[in-house]
Amino acid sequence: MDAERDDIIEQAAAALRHRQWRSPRAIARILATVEGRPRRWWRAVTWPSAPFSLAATGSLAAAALLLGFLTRQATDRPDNQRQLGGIPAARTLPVLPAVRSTGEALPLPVQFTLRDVQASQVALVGDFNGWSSAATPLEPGEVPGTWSVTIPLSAGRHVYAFLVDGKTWMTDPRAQTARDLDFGRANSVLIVQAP
Amino acid sequence: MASRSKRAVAVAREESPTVLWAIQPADQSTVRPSTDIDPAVPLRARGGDARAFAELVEHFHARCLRYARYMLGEEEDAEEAVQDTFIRVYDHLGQFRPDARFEPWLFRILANRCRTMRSRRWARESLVVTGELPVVAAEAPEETRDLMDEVESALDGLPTEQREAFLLRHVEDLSYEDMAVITGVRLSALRMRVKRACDALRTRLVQEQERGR
Repeated sequence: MDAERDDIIEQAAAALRHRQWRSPRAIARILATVEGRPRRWWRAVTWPSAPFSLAATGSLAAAALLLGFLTRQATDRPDNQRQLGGIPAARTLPVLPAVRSTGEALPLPVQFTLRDVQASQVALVGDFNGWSSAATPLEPGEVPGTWSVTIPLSAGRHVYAFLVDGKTWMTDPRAQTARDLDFGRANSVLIVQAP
Repeated sequence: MASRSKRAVAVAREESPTVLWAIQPADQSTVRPSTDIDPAVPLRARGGDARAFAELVEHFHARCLRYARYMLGEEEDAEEAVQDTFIRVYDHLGQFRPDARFEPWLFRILANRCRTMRSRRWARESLVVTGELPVVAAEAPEETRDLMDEVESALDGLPTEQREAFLLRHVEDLSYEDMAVITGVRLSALRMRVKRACDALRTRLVQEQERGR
């Protein structure tokens, strides 16, 4: 028995453990609530029982990218283009947090990059892909140790991180970080702003 | 766990001066419920298996409700905190790492919900809570209920941080390492909180016992 536990404490704890609250209705309510909860699109992608199809997601991303590019071409003002400096807008900014979207519902392509010479694989995980370690792998670049991926993101605040070799959680050194109170991990924050 | 309960009863019959009560459990699960769950279950829930999520809720709901009830005092608040917790778990299962343990992850969310609920309740303290009490307390003998009320009353007298630490350590039987994950507090500070809680409870309960003699 450790020093803090004696018979009084043991019995007080046993008394507290003894009282049980059961609420089948509360359990039913929770299950009914989550059942009726709208599923986000990435859940449909990341939660199938069949093996995950990168090809299908790639097609979706490519279509969204194309749509975003076409809309930008049609609507961007010259000053806006100068500010963005082309496709990898986030990459050219000193700090990642703000890029401008050209339409409320249309996504903007955002490039994520990481330099890690020891990594053998890197994945982008974030609230935009359901924190799936399989959904958004980074591709190795021509320069050894560089990794990147470009994905379409809608306007708003996005929280993300890099998962290196399937086990090491890394924030983006170029972005601001935020710590989730409930989950305790530091993540990076990207804000895509609507015009 | 069974032997500990029997020992407590046996010692009480010998009228040991340190034993206050003899707790006769209704069944083994009410004394020290199994805290383990097959690690595959949260992973299946994470993968979208609705049955696995239901299994998680079924497995942990009673413990979560008990913890929330002792932290918040009110059954309605406790039930709301637990419901919020499981919905948040559902929404963030994608963030649950396959190599992590589910129990401290769940209790971290629950502990945060309880803290939020407490601060919210202070803002509406003057309101009278009415309505149906949806929670069914397990059957317990009359004298045991009195004893439990005494312990609960002593627990209520503890500062929130000490109560939280005591419940996690001695009622939920969690390790200090898990408690550090749940509360975000250092091990040394947690040990101090638990020690102070134990000292305060011991003093209060012995006083109550002497008053009753």
